[in-house]
Amino acid sequence: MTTSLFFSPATALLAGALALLFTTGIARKAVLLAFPLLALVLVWQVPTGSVTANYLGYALIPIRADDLALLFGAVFALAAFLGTLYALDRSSTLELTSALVYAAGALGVVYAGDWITLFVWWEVMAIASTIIVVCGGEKAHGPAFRYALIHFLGGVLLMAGIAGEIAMSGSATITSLKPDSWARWLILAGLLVNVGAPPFWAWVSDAYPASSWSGMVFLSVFTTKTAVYVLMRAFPGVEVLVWVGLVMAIYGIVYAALENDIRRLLAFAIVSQMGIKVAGVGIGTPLALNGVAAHSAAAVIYTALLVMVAGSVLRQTGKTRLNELSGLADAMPLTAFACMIGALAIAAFPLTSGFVSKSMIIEAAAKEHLAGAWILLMAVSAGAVLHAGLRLPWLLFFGAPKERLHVSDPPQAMRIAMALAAVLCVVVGIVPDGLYVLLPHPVAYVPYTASHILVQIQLLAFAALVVYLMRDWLQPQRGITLDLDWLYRRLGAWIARGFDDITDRGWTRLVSNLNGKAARLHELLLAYHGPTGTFGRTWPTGTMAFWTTFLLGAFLLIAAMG
Amino acid sequence: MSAITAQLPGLQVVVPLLGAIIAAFMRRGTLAWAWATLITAFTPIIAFALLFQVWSNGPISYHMGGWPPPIGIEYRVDLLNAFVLVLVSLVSTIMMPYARRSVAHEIDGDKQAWFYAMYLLCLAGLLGIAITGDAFNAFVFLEISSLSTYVMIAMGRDRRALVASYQYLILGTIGATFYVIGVGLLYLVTGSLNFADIAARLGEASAAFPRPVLAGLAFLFVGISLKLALFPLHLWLPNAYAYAPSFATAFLAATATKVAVYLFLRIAFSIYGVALDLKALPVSTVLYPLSIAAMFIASILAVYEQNLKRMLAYSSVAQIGYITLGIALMNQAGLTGGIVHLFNHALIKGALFLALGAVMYRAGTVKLDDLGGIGRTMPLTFAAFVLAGMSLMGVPGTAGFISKYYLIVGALDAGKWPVAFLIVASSLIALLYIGRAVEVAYFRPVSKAVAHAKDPPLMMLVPMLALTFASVYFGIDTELSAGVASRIAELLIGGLK
Amino acid sequence: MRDTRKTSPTLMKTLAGKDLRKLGLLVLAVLVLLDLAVAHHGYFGIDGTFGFAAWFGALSCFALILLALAVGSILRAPEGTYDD
Repeated sequence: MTTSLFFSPATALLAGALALLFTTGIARKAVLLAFPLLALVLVWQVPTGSVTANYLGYALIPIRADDLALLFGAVFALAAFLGTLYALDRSSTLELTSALVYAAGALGVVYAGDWITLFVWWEVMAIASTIIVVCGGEKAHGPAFRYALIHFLGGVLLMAGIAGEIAMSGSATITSLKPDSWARWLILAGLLVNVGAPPFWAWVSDAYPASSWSGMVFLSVFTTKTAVYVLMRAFPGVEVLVWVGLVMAIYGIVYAALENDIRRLLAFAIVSQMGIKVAGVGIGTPLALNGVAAHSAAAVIYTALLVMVAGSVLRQTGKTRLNELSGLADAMPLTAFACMIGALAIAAFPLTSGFVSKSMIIEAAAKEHLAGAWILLMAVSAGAVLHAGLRLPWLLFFGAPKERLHVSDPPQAMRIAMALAAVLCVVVGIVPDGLYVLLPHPVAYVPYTASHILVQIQLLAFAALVVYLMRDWLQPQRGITLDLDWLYRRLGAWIARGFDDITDRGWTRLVSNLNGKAARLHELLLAYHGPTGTFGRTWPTGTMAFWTTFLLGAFLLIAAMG
Repeated sequence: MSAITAQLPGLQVVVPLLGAIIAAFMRRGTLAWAWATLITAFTPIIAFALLFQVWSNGPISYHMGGWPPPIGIEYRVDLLNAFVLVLVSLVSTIMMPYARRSVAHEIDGDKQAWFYAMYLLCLAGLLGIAITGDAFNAFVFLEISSLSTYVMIAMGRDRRALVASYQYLILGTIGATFYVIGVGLLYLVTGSLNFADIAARLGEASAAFPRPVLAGLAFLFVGISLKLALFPLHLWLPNAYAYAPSFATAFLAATATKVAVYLFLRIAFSIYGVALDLKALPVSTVLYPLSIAAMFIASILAVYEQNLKRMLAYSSVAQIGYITLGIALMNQAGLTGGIVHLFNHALIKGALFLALGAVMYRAGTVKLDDLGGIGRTMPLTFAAFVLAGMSLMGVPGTAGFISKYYLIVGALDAGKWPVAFLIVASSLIALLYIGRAVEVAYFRPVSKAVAHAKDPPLMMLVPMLALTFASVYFGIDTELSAGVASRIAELLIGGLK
Repeated sequence: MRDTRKTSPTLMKTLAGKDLRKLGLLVLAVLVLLDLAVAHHGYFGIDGTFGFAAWFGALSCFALILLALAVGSILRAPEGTYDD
């Protein structure tokens, strides 16, 4: 059994990260492609069941394999492969090594059967992904720092929750929980930080666009999706998640509709999409959970595809602002085509992977007669046209070119990666059964009924009509939209600066005071004559003597009372 | 062989003590360093031999000069002090190779030999406190270690070192005086200075003279609290650590406060706890708020500190808060957490201060604003800083996590879940101050001061990396740290009345 | 400018053409009329009615745009807002 620890998909990727440090040229490219593929093969080799180990007297389960783990494991390994293929000629070894470690962390979380193991991999992901953000260059340092802080905060919440949960239940095994103790609320909060839930959702749109053209592909895949995976395992059917998810979904659309930067627009679209999945976890019926699993799998690929498109545009033109980009379709036809496929998939158009997965979540809401949730999910579905579903491809690739750009489609490896991802989006859309057999619960759902198809096309077509009619109001404009990160980027800074001023002044006074005393002491020692009575009178010493006496008094007083 | 084995407890102190005297007669710094290194290297061998003896055969009683207690001085080694002896001697030995260049860089040539003499004297004093079974003898060793510490601090290059040393001298003397008053009160009511003897007679004495016994505890408590820098008696520590020579800071941070904590445990658990009901005494009541205040206030002070050495010094005050919190919990897991943190924190702070010493050696400053981009010019040094810093925060898989884990379990066992929450919350502050250093080191452009800095020579690098490795390693293999600590906690709690 | 016009893409022209706009309207009309042929099984009553998805899609998209414009009018800020 322990052999499966060494030959797990996660260790394969870690080995790849190590190998990457020692290879160059062709060998490096071979490593980049081979190890994610090896991980993909190994996903199918993980024996169903658990591997246990001992740490601090707790039975750990480093590997627990079941259907859900298989699905996420396979999708993550596949996404890692697409990412490395896309990044094949990226020169930053640090970024790519971190990317493989990051993917290994995600796979580690997928197979973790207990909270302690999960937490270790969770932190591995946090660190590796921070490094990926850092590799975005000088301008990424601020966002990377904020990213790290938010994720360590999430980690601390999670750790506190896990410690409490273990102390209360005595077991570290990950099971389905109800949030009925402070420890479980803390675990839930820690997971929600990573999923992009309020009040910390701004990290997604802050950090992801700051990464490099290749880095964002990896980032968009793992952190949020692993978090939703753990939510599915630990908190299915927790009602508050429905509303948290819907708020995220609407926030993502609204902010994306206003956004000028294509990669930040995609970051908002990711939050919106995550919101739909979180709401699905909150609904919690087998159909909803199937939908979440399927939608996560589909979203990994189509989000990665759209991010690859944005990365290609960034790499080929050096620009990401919509008001500076337009009409790229003729210069970059393949990229434009890939973008269209990705847009159709994220908008859940029939014959794409988005359609066969998202509809399950909406259907689940309807079956449970959650009218409010259902109406909002439908509205959010239509709203996809406001971000990557229509607005992005339209503004980016069609319309008159703003200026003549001598650009072309990106290099071969990137084109192949985009093509593969696009093919996957369509194949899954046409043959959904290939995805459905991997879902955790038996699937009775039939996506392709005349009614489903027609409803979805009507919804999107008329939403698109509104976008077309209101196109003048939706022109991209320079600027940013203030978000909740204002609280810690502005308000916090103001408070900290005020604090700094106070402590600075205090410290300056202390130092000058001490310096004065030192000078006087020096004189005293040198000349044997000096101001009398200086001994023992420097005020910090006096303060300390006071505290000493105070503590003695307090101790005696308490003793006398006791 | 067995003759030497029987003399081991005596040799533990005598070897560095004599070594110090010989070092004082040396003139060349390098020679004194080599001598001090040799002497230091003997001490962990003796300490480990003692630990193994104690582990297999139980406590050792050694009569100094052949005089039986209570008339003569008894050295008594049980698991608790064998553990402390191993910690102090081992960390010192690991650090010694580092000393040569760092000391040569920061102290004038003619004073270096003197510094090593003081260092050996301090080491002898600390080992003496840890090994002796006699209350007054402990006071003597306390003074030996303190006096040599004042001299070491005063040798710092910064002029403020003199003030810091002077301040510490005043306060250390107050602390020692309080301690000796406490011992005197105990002697008055029990007629003995031997720890075991006092413990045996204290119950009776307390019935006859309840007030002096309590007053004695109060004086001992406050006196030792000063030495271990319990909040708010910590004011001497930040300046002393900040302006002392880098090696002295690392050495003191790793050992001196730890030995004071040991003395505290000895008096609270092996004397008062054996004779009286420890939980009825106000020890926990006073320790709780002060420990928690230390964890928060000192950590926040660290966040706003510009000088990295002072930052770590404040962090030390906070970490001592965790140790005393573990003591205050007075249950198996809590006490284990306190003792194991004593061990882990020695490794972590040792590694961190050595890293800063290397920064001082290469860049000549430890002001945060001057250190932009140092993570890129001194990659190994700052990697060590970050790893040890992660251990300090308590990231799982590191030694710091083990400490906090036991403390949290201890708090929950005691039914004090708000305390468990506070432990986690205060760890978050550690994230802030370490994170601030990381931000400057990696994310800022390379500043002028560090542009030509590079990792220090191998002799400095290896001790630093060894301690860093240890502060991660003991997060995975917990046999020596948590295993022994848990056994000690069991013995201490088992011995309570 | 002249260059641009010469190499002006055909794809774009087609998409921007007037015929396409008419075709689009026709498609929309057909989509709604198809509701007569396809049986919907709603869960809430309203969702099975004629043209529901069409007007709901348009209305919700309109509402989201209004929300976005409202948010934008309050929270839009220049790009360098956080730079010091």
